[in-house]
Amino acid sequence: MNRQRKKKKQEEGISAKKEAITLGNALLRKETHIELSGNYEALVEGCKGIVEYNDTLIRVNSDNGQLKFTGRNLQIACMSDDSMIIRGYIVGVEYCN
Amino acid sequence: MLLIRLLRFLRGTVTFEVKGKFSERFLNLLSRNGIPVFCTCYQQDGFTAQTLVKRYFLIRPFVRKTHVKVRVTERKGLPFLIKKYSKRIGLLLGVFVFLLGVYLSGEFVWEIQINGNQTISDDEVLQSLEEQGLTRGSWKRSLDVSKIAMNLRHQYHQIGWAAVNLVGSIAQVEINERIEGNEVLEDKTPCNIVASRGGQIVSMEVYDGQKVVKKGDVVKKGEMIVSGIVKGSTGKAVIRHARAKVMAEYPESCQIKIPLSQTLQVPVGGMRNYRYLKIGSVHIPMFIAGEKPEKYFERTFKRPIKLCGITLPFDMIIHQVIPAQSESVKISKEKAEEFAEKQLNEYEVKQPDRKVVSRKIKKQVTRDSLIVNAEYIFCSDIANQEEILFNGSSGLK
Repeated sequence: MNRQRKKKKQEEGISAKKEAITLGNALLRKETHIELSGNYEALVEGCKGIVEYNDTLIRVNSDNGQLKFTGRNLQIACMSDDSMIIRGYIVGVEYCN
Repeated sequence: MLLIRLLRFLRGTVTFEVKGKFSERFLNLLSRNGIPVFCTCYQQDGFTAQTLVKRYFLIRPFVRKTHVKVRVTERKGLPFLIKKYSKRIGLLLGVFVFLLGVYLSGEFVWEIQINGNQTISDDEVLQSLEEQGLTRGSWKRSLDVSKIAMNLRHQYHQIGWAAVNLVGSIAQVEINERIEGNEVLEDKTPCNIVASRGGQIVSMEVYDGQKVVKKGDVVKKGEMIVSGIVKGSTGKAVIRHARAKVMAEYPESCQIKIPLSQTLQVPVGGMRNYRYLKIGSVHIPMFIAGEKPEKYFERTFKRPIKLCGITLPFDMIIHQVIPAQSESVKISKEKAEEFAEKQLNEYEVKQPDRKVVSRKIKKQVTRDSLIVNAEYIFCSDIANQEEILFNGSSGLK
């Protein structure tokens, strides 16, 4: 019983560490960080430029591949070197590798 | 968001249209080179976007590199407004004058509030303040409020404490009046009672001191009536503060001359108002100078200026000029006698403490006037206190 408990605790500890590491990566801009506000605004951090842009589709480059936003009346509200805000009626977000 | 919009307005934004095959690349290049792009909107064959005015001039190399066509569609913001109106000097000057007016209006006293006065009237306090330079429209920085408050205290015995506070454009004058007690200080200065004028004594009431004259005696002006040096029962002289009421009768004559034909100034029509705008101590005339009539009546009054119910710190001084002309008026003997009677009555009540004992009137009519001679006998208190001096110093030690 004790061994099983110890194993469980170890597994929980590992998963917590993993979570902390992934969040840290996002915070340190090592990975793409997407923040959605409902289905009308998306903040994308860690992106590396626009690949395709029209009012129904926005494709952006990221470390993990291309990120595709689909929807209607899509607009890039503002953009900087590695981040952008997408506004519009967002229908889907997907990676296309 | 509002703050961002304000900042963008202050810095000025340019909306441009991008057309070309590599418009996405163009956007990427702009963002990588620190040129902010916002409010992008997709259009057929391209898109529109906004950037700051200063950064817009940096996009040329990227335009050439990506072979896109860029065209400015709109310019917004403060830099463009300034440029647009920079040639309109009058407008800029108007804005400047308005701002200066708003700033300067806060530098003047617009209203004076007087609080706490009970026995002293507002008008008296206002007049006193005006003498010290605190009026509506006076410049706040030129006022020494502590000095004004101190002078108020010195000027009015009733004021126990006073303060002048400048709250915005309002001068608040706080007054605290002292509570006067029924304290009566006994005057012990040694003195005699002398006659203030000559006459025959009809009654005497001596409260303190030694009588020198008696009822029925005739005294001259300055003659001693009651002495302050009294002999005591032991035979020693005691110096007292003599007090007495001495009623005496004395004659007095009065002559009044009423001309039977007089030249009077009679007002005629055509009154004119000369207005002056009073700003501080400056009077600005609000009229075109014109000739004044030879003979005229004039009067001046002050009126505060109000705008939408707010009293402004300026006054309008109105100087009224009423043209007059001389007219000779003949007065009948009865009317002249009436005027003479009126003047005699005024003469009798000139000194309220005296009483008329008798009056004899003689009237004489000459060619152009009525002469009235009145012989009076008045009765009044002639007691006058005169201090007794000892070796040049006053008072008893």
